[in-house]
Amino acid sequence: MSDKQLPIEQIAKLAEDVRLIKDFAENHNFDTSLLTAKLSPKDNSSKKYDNCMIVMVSFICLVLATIAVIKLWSPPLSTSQNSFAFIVGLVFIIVSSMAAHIRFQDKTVTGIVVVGLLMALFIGAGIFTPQEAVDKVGQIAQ
Amino acid sequence: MHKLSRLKKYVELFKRNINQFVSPDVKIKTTIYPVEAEGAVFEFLFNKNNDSSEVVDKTRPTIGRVLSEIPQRMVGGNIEGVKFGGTNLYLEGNRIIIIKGEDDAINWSGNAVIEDVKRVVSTSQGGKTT
Repeated sequence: MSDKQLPIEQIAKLAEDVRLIKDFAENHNFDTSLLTAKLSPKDNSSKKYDNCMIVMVSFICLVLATIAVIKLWSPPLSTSQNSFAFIVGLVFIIVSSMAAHIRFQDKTVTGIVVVGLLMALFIGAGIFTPQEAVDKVGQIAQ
Repeated sequence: MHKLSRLKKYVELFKRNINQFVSPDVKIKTTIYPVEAEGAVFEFLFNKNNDSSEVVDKTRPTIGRVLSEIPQRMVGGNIEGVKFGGTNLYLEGNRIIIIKGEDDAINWSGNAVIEDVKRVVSTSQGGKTT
């Protein structure tokens, strides 16, 4: 037996000392009147949809459709029609970013959606070139 | 975890989500205990004194150190040797202590907060969660 080996009592003490507590929940006489859990019967009649996600995806598609109209409509839109389509695109971006924020409750995700869609609209409307858009995104990210 | 923006974001989301279960006259005072190592500890004190304040306590080296310095009966003995994983809940009287054991983004996301609130409500009503 090596001199470096720990005595059995010390090993037992170490084993007791190193513990892992994971996803544990304990209630020590919590005042139940402070929180009210609403109970409702299980509803099998209707399937639940993620409305925010549906709104977000739909409005992202509408932004893309607006860009397609600005870019590809034949004959090309007049300046005033272009401006109107651009404003409609901005409104779609606002709605989709609001839906993203409600859905994910995360500023980073909302920021990515807003910046991504704005850059797509700016490129589509010819305000930025793709290179300028990449530079702008880089600046914003910093 | 001692990234203050993330800790405050967690508190903001937690309070927003749990408010739908809290009686209208009850407010929540929050104390954040950041730690140098992984994880963090949050203390939510329910009160009827209109106190919704948020306090960030000093940063301590480990979760164990925090728990050894605040009143709790969840862990005893050599707390410094205890490792924490996931999200641990301790409910007592009018306060809730949440011990986040890890810094992984998945444990701090909006969905994780919603899950934590569900577990708190379930545990407060006598339910057991793991």
